[in-house]
Amino acid sequence: MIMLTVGTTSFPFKRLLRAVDQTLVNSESKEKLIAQIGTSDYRFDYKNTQIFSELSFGKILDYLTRARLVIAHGGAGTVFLALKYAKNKPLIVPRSRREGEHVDDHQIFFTKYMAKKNLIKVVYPDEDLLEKIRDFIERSEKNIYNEKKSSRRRLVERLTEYTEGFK
Amino acid sequence: MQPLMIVFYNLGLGGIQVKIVDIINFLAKDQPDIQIFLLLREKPGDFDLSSRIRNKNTRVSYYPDWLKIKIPFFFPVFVLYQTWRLKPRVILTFSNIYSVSAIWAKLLLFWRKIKVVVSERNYTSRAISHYKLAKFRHFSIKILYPFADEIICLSRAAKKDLMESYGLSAEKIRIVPNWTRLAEEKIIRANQDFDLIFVGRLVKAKNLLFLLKGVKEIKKFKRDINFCLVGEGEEEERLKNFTRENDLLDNVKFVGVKSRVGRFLARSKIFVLSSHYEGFPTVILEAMAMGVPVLTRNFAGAREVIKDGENGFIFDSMDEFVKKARWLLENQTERKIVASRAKKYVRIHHSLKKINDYLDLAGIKKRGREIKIGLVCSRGGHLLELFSLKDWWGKNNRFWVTGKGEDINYLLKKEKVYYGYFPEHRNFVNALRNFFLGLKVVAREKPDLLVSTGAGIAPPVFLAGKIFGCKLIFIDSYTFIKDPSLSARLVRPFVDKLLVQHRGAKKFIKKAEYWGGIV
Repeated sequence: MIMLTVGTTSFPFKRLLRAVDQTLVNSESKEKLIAQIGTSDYRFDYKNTQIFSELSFGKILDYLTRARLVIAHGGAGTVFLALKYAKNKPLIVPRSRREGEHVDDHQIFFTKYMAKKNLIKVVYPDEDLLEKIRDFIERSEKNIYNEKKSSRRRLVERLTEYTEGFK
Repeated sequence: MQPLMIVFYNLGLGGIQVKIVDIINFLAKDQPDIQIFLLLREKPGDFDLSSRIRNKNTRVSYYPDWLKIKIPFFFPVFVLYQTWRLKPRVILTFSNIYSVSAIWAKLLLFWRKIKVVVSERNYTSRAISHYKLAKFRHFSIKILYPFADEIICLSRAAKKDLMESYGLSAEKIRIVPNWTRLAEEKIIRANQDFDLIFVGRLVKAKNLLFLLKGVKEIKKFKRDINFCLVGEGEEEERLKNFTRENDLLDNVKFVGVKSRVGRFLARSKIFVLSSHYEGFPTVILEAMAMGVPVLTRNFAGAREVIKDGENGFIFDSMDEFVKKARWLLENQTERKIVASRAKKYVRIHHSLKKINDYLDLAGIKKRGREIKIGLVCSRGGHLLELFSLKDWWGKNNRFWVTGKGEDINYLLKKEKVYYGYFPEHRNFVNALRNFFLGLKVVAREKPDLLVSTGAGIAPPVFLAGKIFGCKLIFIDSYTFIKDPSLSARLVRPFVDKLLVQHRGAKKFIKKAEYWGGIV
């Protein structure tokens, strides 16, 4: 099962949907595709696709956990969830302002940063999306986010210390 | 730790006064770092309990005499001034006018988080009727007591009275019985040279004339009956006159105020009390702890402690009083059996350990007070980031101000949520609405701290929090790796902590600190 989500932002993101659809059609894959397409108006050619405009939060977590692969847009919420729950290192495609996919290019900066930390795989707007997706479906890596040492514990400690000071 | 303030009449003779000193001394061991301000209306007289205070963090201040003379009814203003000046976190008050003054102060200083714990020492509705301005006092209790954070009374009967006379709700009123230091002390063996003893203030409410008449009755059967009164008060002259006129001079002894009441109790055969109403007098417990059988009028609440014939005795009429007193004086073995049951009862139910219950209700137990956090964020990534700090906020009281959505419903299912107005991004009307929502929520919840990971909901709600003096922490979203978000720039001038989640982002906005990031 492949989970594809472009979040629920009001901007469409057909570029990613089309690319995934075509890659799967061209391949001989019969794997099930779950697609949360938000407000994008797109009809899939790939047969084994289940389309949702907006999934319930519980369902999203469910699919993210069960899916063999996760492909998603670069919204922070989606990325954090994918990192936390996906089996494999997720493939993230940031929305581009030039293509009318968002108001600015913050997703590009953010995903660049996350890719540098080696947490996700990214395809930038000027790269060949079809080829990268094909690669990804064939050779995916393990999600290492939950094993990575995070500075969250330190943050929690400092915050706890700060609030203890009120007593 | 913010200080504790105690407001009362004086530190002279009386059960409450002893109770106050007990609490202060208990805190000296239990929480040596808590600062205590004791606010008293009257300067000490001949008998001053303040010498028994063994807590070096205590400061006593008195209502100035010149103020008392110059401006009548000024005491509540004095309490307000001191509350403003000393910034107490908890105010303990005993008896109604002090309670009413403290509640006033709390309401007027609404932006401070002050917890007012009211202790009712008596059977309130009856006791107040004997004071000056009774109607006004009843009225102010009715109006103001609902604003107290805790109301503590001494017996179920007293609680029922507060509910019925002032319409207070049952949940608001707790019962913590009195305690006595003597509960765990050994009974003093002494020659029992007093037949009857009374300890307390010699005031009308104690109905002491009844006891003297009772002595007169008993004297008909037992010529050498003797009755000892420990204490002083406005009734003393009248009582002495009665003694003289009824030829009881040899039988009745006024010994004045004694600091070591236990010794006097130990020298007596029966402790007698005939008040028509009482909260629950400590002195009954002291007598029981000293192994002196108690013979008391059936005031409301008496039966909650005294089981007639088992650990003490109760009377309803003069006949019954005389009959029971005579029988007890003649039966030494019976006195001993009842006394030992009484001692056991007091040791179990009325020891100093009760102070723990009291401090618990007042929220000044050792574990410190509870912190309340308001978590403010927009849905989506902002929510996930804030949610992932659960190890921190999960330990505190909290509420959320956020939007509506699937993720909110799912993640915050069991949380208390206030819903803001969205879309909030660069939307002036909704920012204004969120500001007013913030004012409403902060006034109601009184959080110690607001925290946000953005986005547009944070600035208006934080501004509202600032007005109420909340601490503010803004954690800029993890997605802002270099340049800070617009929300961060907006709240920067007035937040207490501005945190960024990337070490390198610190230099892009003033005041920013890096404590770590969620990833």
